[in-house]
Amino acid sequence: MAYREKEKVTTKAPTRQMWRRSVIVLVLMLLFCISILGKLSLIQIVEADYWREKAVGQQMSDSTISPKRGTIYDSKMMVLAQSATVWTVIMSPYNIKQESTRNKIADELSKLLDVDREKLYKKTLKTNSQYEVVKAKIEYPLAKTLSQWIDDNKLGTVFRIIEDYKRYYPMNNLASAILGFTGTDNNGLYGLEAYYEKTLAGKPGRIVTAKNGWGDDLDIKLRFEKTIGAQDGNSLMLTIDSTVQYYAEKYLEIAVKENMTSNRGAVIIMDVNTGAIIAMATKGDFDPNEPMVIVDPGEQEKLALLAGDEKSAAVKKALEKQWTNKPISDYYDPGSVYKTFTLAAALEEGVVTENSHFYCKGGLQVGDRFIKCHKYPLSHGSQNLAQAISNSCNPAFIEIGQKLGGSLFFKYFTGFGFNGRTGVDMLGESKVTESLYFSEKNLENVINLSVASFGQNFKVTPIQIITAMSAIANGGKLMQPYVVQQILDSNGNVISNTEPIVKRQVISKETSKKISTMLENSVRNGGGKNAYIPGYRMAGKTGTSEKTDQNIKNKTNDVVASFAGYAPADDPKYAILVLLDEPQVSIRYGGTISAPVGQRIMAEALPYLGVEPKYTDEEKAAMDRTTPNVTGKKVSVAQTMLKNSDLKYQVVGSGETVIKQVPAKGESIPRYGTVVLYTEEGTLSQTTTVPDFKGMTMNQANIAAANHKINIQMNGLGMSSSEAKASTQSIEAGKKVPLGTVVKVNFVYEDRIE
Amino acid sequence: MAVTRGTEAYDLSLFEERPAKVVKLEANKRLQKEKQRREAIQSAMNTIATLCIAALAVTVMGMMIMSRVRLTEMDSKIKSMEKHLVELQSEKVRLNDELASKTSTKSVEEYAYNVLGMQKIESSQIEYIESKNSDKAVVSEDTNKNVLEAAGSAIVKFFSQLAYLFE
Repeated sequence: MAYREKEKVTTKAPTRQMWRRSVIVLVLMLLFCISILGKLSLIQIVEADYWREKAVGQQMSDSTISPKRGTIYDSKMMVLAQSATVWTVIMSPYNIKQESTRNKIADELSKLLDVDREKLYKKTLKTNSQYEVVKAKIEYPLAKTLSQWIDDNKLGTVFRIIEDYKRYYPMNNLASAILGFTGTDNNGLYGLEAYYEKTLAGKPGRIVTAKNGWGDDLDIKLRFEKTIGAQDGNSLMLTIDSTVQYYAEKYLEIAVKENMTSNRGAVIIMDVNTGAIIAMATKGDFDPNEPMVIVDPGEQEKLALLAGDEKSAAVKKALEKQWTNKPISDYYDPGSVYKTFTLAAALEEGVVTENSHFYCKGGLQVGDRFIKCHKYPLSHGSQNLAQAISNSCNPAFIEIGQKLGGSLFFKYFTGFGFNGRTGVDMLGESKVTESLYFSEKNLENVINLSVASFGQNFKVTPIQIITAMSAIANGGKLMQPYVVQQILDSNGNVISNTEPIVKRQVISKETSKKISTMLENSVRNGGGKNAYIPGYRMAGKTGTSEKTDQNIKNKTNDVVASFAGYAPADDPKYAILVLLDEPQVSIRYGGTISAPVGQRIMAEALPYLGVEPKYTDEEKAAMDRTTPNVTGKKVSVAQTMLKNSDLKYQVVGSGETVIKQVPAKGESIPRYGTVVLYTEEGTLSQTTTVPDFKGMTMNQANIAAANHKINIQMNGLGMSSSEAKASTQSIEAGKKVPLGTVVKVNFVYEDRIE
Repeated sequence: MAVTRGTEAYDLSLFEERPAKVVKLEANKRLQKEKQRREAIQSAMNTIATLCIAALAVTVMGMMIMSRVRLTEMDSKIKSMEKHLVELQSEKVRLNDELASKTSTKSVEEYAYNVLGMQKIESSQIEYIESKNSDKAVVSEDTNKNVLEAAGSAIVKFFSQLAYLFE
């Protein structure tokens, strides 16, 4: 029976229908498999890169590590600009659910972060936003307090404090025009920050981390993190000495204010032998920590009167003006300072000698024009070459220029670097355009040549003038100016060091020495007298140039008063250029207002820079004395001691012993000054009134001082001083002071020499 | 079942299936005991080995987990310290910035003039000394040496000079 059943089963064959169904299923399965394989091939082979990228993007979190921006140091490694981590507060209004929280944030956070409450409240209402910057670049103590406040109020889902960088300029305004500043994204926008952006910025790094489907870190076994460190920016060591820079800025600022200089002032100090810029000052300037704040009160007043688009445009213009590095970017007519270069060309080419003579009649007829001397209607009369430069005589230089001719004039114009950029490693050196300069063809016109010979009717930049003046000083070598001495890596290793570059030899050493002698004479006896510094043989030339094109256009009478010089004349080391653009005072000659600035700066800078004074016997004799200590001594002994020190004395009281002296021991007093010796207690309260010395000559001031029983110390004087007039005094007029007090009085020459 | 048919030529019973003859063997008790003992030992050894391997595996596993935990802890600590370092560096720069502003030439000069009432030195207050001969330093001879010390010094000096010459 079992056998039969078995036989029945085994003998049953599939029907055709079954076969058909099976084939259909098989085909469907095959098609399914083929389609799967096809899709897999498409993903794995054809679109592999795309999907790999998508997968990596989903599985990996890639964040950037910001590099630290390099530091800027001065030549003594004092920090001028430095970056540090700060924090930016981000708010997510999306996560604020209650009105009470909004109010709490607006009330408390606005006080904590010193932001406007209403603006902050409006930000909290942007409920679709998850990223609202509340305050950028807060410092560590505030970030710490804020972090605590967030924890205390359980607002961790609302606020994030993210790292950022801030640029610090510890010296505030000092050298701001050189340094420039960075923007909110830490990129350099102006000055060296922009010029050396690639060097300072560094290269960002990356952190790649594996993430799970929710964007969180994977568990330990699968954790993956790869860090490619950021490469910090390199640092710059400048040729700028912050102390000399300070001297330059201090006296320039005073001069700009005193002379009501409406278009700012500039000073450059250069090492004549290398072209290294030791100081470069611009006033008015700005604080790079707050570059968007307009510093000039005059500009602020003007802007306060404007509104709308007009105000925006004016603000933009004012900001650009205060950011501009005047010594590099502004151009001006050099005026009589340029006579130095006309003289150099003429001496080098032998068209004049030191024995050449000129005759000034107050002006000179050139073609159909009568070109006046600055002394017109008076004249300089007969003068030799040294006197011509000392007098800054225009007709003499017209004659020299004409003797030189357009071709040679242009040769030296180009040779001294006035026909191109100096190549200084700073942003914004004015673009040289043909229109700013004479072409050789242009100089074929005798009037053009004559006017150019005394520095009018063409424009140059201050950096061009100081570079050319350095060439005059150093024996004729035109140097390439530079401001970055070294580039250092983040560990302080030197990557590159700037070597001085001699561009060309413009004049011979002999010509250079001859000019130095003449320029030294100009400071001792000529228009540069106010730049005289006892002990230092200062050479220099003053200039007062008319802003002709602007004056014609605006119907004004503006000038640029300048002084360019160097010291010591026998072994030149440092050159200086002082420029006051549009002074609004009545006496505005370069020799009167710019040369004293040069004198004050160099008098402090030269000893600091290690240039020792060498006094002549005449200077030593005229030098002030140090008051000896006679207090406590018998009157007769004190009198002998003071006589031996070339000092006079006045005894007050009838005692036998000196109980007090004015000036006190060690104080500086002029030779033959009077020391007041008090011998009785009752006489100590005797005082006198300080007279007003302003406008007095030396003799008048001496008489006034004697009448008021005080001493005056005369500053800013050359060896011949009879024409100088008192300009400022250390103790204001009318003040009561003890008898014998020393008042320092500054004297300036008011020679109307351009 | 065996069928005997006396006269039949073939005794078919011989080909019938017969039950196996069961021989009763006498068990060797000594061997049996030995075997049981061995089995017991083997079993115990197996158990111990299993336990040891399990313990080893657990230990290795535990150590791995511990090292991972430690690694995570250290990682977290490093990150925290790095964050703190950044904060302190930031504060250092800020304080240095403040210090530099307060000790700048301008601030020092203003403080000296206005608060301390100091004045800049005048050129007349500087005394310049001219020296005709250049400066020179003189090292004094130690005259208190006894004979032996002097002889020792001379020998040392001689050999050091010799060494210098050969170099």
